[in-house]
Amino acid sequence: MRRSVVRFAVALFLAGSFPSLSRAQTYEVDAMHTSVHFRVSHLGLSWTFGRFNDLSGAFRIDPADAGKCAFQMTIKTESIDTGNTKRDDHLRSPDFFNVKQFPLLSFKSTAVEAVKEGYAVTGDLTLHGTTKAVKFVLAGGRKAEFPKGIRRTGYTTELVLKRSDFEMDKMKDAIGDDVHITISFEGIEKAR
Amino acid sequence: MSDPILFARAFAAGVVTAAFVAWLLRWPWSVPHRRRTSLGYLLGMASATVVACRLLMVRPHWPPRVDQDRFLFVVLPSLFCVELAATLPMRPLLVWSLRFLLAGAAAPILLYGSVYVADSAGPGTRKWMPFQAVLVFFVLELALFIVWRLLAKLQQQTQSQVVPLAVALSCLGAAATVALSGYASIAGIGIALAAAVTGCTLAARMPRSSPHLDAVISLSAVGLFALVVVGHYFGNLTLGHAVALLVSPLLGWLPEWLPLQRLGSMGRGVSRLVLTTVPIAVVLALAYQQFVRDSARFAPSSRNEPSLQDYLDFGK
Repeated sequence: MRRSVVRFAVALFLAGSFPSLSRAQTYEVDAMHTSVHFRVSHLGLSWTFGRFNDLSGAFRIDPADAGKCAFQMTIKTESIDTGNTKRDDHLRSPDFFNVKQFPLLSFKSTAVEAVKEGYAVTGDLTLHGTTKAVKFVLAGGRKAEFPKGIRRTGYTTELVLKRSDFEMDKMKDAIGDDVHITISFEGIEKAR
Repeated sequence: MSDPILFARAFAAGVVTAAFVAWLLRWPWSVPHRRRTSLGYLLGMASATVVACRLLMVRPHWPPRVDQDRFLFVVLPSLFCVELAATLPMRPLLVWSLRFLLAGAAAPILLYGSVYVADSAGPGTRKWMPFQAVLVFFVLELALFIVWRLLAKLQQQTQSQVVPLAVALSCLGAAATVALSGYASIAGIGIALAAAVTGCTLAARMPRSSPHLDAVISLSAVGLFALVVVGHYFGNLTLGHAVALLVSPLLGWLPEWLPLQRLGSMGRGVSRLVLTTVPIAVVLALAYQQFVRDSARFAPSSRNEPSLQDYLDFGK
């Protein structure tokens, strides 16, 4: 009995001293309310827009300590969709994403800092079999409950990547090197 | 990349390079020597491939991570080593054993680390179970070896330069078909191979040259095989088109079997080229039709999305 009381007191002390331990929330990415869009220049004349339709991910938010936040997302490159069958097949080929060789595009954060807009996230992006560090700012973080009992939060970011940094360097004269990406995602809080 | 003038220029540069190096290295001012001639063909083909690939901006990466890198850095050098060994005095059985080994290694090298044989999308995601992979690779090995052996035998039997030219034509046809089926940059390698083979074949037509084109046949057969394999497994080249392209130069056997003796060697050579061209032309035409159809088609996921008219008609 006495041992239980001591344990309870220690637990209470820890919870009070490190509130972040008890306040971190883990979310699973809600694919239905998440989109990864990109645009890339065609001959410098127009933008071609596209998206990825099959993705998954999870993230952890600790409002008290941004360093304990973490984000990861995985996208199936096969699910690329620019609205045209032939172009999508070409983008899946070894000329671009090489989906039979590199079926996944993934991101995993390595450091998160709190900034005015939300979080500045640094992490490893693996694309076309090459891993590079990228940094972007995630804006958002508002919370909602929809439907009732399902707690959600969401973030949005925009970044520009050079595809040649990932050895995706074919046809650079026709298709721009800079790829403008917009990611907007929602997560559903996991039951503790 | 899809500039026909650039293609033609790279092809011409490859042909000239291969012909010049092959001619120079066979020591044209002395008595022809089979081993030196074969070495000349090998170096001619290697330099032509490098020149044409550079002009076409085919830039392989090291370490080799994708099919084109593995073809240029692993398969081709291995083939050159085997053909270099074949110039040494050794029994034909041993030479063909080495070639059989290479035929067996070619497809696994090209498909290394792909979704077919590796769990690259997570545990248990590989498309082929180990026994399936062994079976597929064995079938591919047999296909390459049979085509290679039959082409070498045809060349040996006819002593005709038309045989490697027919395979060069098939390489060009395969490159164009694979490009139309969605893997455009492979065209550069197809053009480089065809140029290398054509250049060496031209060198063989020069005075005091050797008709032994074994190394040229080997490069063209393995190159054609690699083009259709990567086209099928990494691009959208259909199995039927891949098979038709791979066997197209074997139609050069028909004039040997059919009663075409009265055509003479020139006539039979022309008929060999024509027979090779027929399946290539059919496959190219079908691939082009498919290309036009697919280019005008919306992606399946977008097909059911509302059109502008649907929005305008909303509520009517």
